[in-house]
Amino acid sequence: MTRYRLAADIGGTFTDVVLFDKQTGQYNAEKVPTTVKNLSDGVLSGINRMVQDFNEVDFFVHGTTVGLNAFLERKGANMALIVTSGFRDLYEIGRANRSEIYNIQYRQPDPLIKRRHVYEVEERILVDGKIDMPLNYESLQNVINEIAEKDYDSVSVCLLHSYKNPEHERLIKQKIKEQLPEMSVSLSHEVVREWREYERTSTTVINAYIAPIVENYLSKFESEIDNRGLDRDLYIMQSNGGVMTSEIAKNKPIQTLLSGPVGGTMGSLTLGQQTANENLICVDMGGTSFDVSMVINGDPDVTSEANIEKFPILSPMVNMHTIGAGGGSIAWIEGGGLRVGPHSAGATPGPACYGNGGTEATVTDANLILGRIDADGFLGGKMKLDWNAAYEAIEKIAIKLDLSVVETAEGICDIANAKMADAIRTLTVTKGIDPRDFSLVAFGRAGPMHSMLIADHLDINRILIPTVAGTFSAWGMLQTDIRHDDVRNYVSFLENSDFSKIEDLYNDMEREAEIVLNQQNIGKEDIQFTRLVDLRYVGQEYTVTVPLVDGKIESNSINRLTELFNNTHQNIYGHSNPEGAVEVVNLRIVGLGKLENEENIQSSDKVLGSPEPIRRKAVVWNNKEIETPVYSTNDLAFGHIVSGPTIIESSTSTIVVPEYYTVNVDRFGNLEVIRRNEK
Amino acid sequence: MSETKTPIFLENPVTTEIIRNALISAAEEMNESLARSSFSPIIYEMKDCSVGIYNENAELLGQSSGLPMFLGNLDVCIRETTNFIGGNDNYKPGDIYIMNDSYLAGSHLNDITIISPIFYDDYLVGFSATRAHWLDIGAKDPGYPMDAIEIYQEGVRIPPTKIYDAGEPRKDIIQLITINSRLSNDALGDMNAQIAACRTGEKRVYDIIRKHSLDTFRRSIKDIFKQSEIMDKEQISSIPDGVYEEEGYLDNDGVTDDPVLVKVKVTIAGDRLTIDLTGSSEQRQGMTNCGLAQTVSACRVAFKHLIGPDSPVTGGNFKTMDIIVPKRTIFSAEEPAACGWYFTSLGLLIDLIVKALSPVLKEQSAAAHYGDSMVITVAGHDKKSNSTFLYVEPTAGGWGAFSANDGQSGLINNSNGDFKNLPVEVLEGKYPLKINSYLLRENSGGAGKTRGGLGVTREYELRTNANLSMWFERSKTPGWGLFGGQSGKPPIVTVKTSNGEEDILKVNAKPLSKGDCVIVKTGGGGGFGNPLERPLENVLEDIIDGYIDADTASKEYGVTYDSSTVQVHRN
Repeated sequence: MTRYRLAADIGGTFTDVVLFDKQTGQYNAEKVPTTVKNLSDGVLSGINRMVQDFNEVDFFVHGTTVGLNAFLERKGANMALIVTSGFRDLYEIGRANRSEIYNIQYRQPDPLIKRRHVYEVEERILVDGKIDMPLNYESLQNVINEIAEKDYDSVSVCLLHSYKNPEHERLIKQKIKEQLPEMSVSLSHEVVREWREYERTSTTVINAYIAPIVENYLSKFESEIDNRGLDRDLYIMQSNGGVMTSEIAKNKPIQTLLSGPVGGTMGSLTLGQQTANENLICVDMGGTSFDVSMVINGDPDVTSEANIEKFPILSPMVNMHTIGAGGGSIAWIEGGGLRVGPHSAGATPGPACYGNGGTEATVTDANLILGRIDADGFLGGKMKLDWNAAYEAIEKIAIKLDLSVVETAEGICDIANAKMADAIRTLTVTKGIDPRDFSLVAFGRAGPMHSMLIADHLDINRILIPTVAGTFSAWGMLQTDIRHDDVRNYVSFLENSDFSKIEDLYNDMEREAEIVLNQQNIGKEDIQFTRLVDLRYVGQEYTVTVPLVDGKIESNSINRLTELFNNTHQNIYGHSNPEGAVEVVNLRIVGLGKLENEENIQSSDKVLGSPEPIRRKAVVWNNKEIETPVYSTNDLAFGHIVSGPTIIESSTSTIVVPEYYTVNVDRFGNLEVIRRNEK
Repeated sequence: MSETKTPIFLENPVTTEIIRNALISAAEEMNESLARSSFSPIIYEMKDCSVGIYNENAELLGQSSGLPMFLGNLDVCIRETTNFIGGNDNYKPGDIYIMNDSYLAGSHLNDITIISPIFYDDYLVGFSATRAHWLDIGAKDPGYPMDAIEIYQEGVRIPPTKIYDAGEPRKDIIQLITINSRLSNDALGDMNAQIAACRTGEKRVYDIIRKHSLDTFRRSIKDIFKQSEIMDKEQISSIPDGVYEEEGYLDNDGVTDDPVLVKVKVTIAGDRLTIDLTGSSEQRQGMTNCGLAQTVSACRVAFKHLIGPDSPVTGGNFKTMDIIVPKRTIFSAEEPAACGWYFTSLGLLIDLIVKALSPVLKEQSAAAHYGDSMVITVAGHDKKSNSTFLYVEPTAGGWGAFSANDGQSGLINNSNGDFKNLPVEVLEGKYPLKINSYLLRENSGGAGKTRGGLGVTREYELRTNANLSMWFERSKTPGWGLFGGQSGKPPIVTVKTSNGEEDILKVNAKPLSKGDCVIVKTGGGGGFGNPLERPLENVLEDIIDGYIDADTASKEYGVTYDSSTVQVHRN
């Protein structure tokens, strides 16, 4: 009998494991230290605490950062790159832009492939796909000879206009494979069939760069869980908000880059469905990070183009905005004024109160001094904090400002909260939305510690805090479906585009997607396709992606499609141009393979009133120490109402509820925090 | 970092910091609002715009700019407008003013400035201001001419003009302005986007004041200015007193072939810094002139480059910085000087200020980059789409080396900020052009202990008959080295037609035929430090990567390369 659904999310400091027991309908969560040397050790030890027999696991999904880490630490494959002759430096030059405009010592990040490993092959395809210069086999042979002499793990091939006509890329792979059968070869048109040579190359190169690391890790992990008796497919969380089997992940490692944080966005989506909230700002605040994502009208906000460490990636990803604030943000003095961040104490040494040698005052230290977190009760008592070290660090700042230590501590928190709110407001302005129409979902270890104070600055009246706030990303991974995206470049005026050609391209993509989804045990009847199209007004550079509500582009659907595009453009950019000619740029599909998602357990027995506090303690609110009740999430049940000011502790996070807020426990055990009107 | 205690400040430091951050963020929101609602890609993609929030004395509270050259150049426009209408008392809630006059606003006529007063409970508490590049403002040629000799050829000239009166649009005035643009619909759209951005700024400032009270707001503003002033003074005081001078030339002004002299004298005395441009060229017949406001802005940019590039600028900054510019020079142009290409001389000015101060700010300085302008324009009629096309590309080049690292290769110049090149695949789909190569230009970086960045080589083939216009610069004074570093290579542009080859750097509307090629080689950045001191392994790496060849290694670095063993040794 299979009774468990299991999710594991490996973070920088902690590995979170969440287990759903189908027999009891209960979720269990474990937070164990991440084992940096061998990541699977930590995951398995977390699982072992909850599951005796791996045979009983029905479904196992896993968020991994190995690909991201290999990329960030520059520990990927040793690679060669083949390009069209005359364009050896397209990858090194990139878009030639300078993002730090007052920095005369600006350096682009070093390319993942040095110039010496970039080879040119004589050939040229034109923008319409016609061959201007046939592939010169002699020049190719010279390149293959050179590659054979060197010790490359893989070769990436990116030729101009290969998204339009991939013939030369395919021929090059064929020739290399004939002579070097062991060599792994990535073709740009297979990784992403979109135009823009630098972005396509960057995507292809990153994919190939992390491939061997991700593959090794997954193979090893699979064999370890295999040895313990789990004979199910291992699923991997993707950056696009869906999951894929580990076999597919080995081919598309680039889709694992945001594997961890995206779980939180998908969890928020489910939480929104449970609580009837379609518009969510999702705030994931860990010890050192602060990630903001959004759910808009019931859909996760997904971008088709992301940037990581200034490298472009053409691959659908949940839009994850990393903001330079978090528990580790350092307070400092400049020009006699108090500043908080953007520098962070990071994981090491971390805040002064971690006792790892940090001496600078951080936001976490301030929270400790204010009594909002507890030296002994932090993370359910798993981590002891050094109150004296925090006090000393803040005192240094307080003396310079001529303020008391408590005033300084609250000031540090106030500034950090206001800054986080400012950053969120700017994001919403960019998107053309008003934060007041949204609910805030707070998770991660430190999210619920700051969420009400951030919401206050944004005039957001409703904050949702999931039961499993500290391990919410892992929980979210259990609420997803299998997802496969694809794209084809097709540029034409919408009105005189070749509708049957477009239909063929959509059908091609869906046929290919079906194969990929079949490999992941999804039958045809369980596949749901969405067709989308990237449109723009003629003359524009950027595009807007809209779904094909009619499922097809044909002469009688054009008007409706144009209208939808005009409206979407209006929403995003504040204006539209209904008279303007519309141009098609890319065709996209999203294939979803429905997975069995268990009904989340609901409680029907509503309790009234409030639970008993586990203790009372002195907490500073508005520069006043107030004896404040402290509750445990273990004592909260459906129907309970708790009024601020109060602190609610769980084993994975601390919820700080200021005055003027009321906490309601819903039938799923989530906390809905509402601002009372009296303010 | 200051050890100063708080009594010099008026307000609680926590409140001040929250207000300071909120104002920076409010300016960013204005910028997002502008980018979001503007019609022209030059605004929403190239970010040829800037916004700022000011107090009632036109002192900067928060700003966000897309181009570095737009640093704090809007306060002047507010002051000019206030003078024009006879003082702050004459502003009404809901008023909006527009202006673009180069001699007042500093930059070219395409840059439109729009300002609105901010009121709180009947008090004038500040201004929000925006500047954005409009694609066409009615010049003699579409966009802007390359060969104007008077401002009247460059478009409509607008003094401070009220376009909204107490919330009501003055439709006749608005029409008078937009009707003069070849793209009047876009002009109106961009005007409305700028107004929307001003309203965003007004609303945010109003919210901030409501949250904290006007008195607190005003006290905190004073504290914020004080902090900036303290930081400026600390930083200037840390530079040794002295007089630091430099000069350099633009190749010419595009009309006559005489070089254009830029002369800089920087004086540091205690916590005061003076930049004296006396001796710089008289205003020229060509377009290399600008109004004083933009010169002040460029001097501030140079200061930011060297000192505190990360800290946001406020009205408290630059109080101990004096700028001396004699009348009727290229930096203080008056009627009828053309100002269309104002940024090329200002780019040189910025580089020269960095060079002048480099002996005393060695770690913060960098050798010169390949220079500003470097623009290629191809215009004509595309038979395929039966429409007129205009392709404008600022080309990338090498940046100067600095103490810690080599200069960046293939990077856009200072005056173009965060501009991105157009991908070859997109370019070939949109314009009747074919790109035959896009490469780093080998051996073009100036030799040094750290090496200057490489320029690029880019070959354009015309697939239809079209006109070529170009402005390439610094062939006479290529990106210079510092501390014994060598200059980068100057630019070379070769035009290949059926009649042969010709090297040209500046040209207006030269007719070319289908199949003709333009081969652009942009300049390299200067080197930093003695090339003979460059570590051997770095020279070897450069040879292996092909950034330099064996010949250059031998001549410029004194290093012999043995290709059979892949090793190097000193000559």
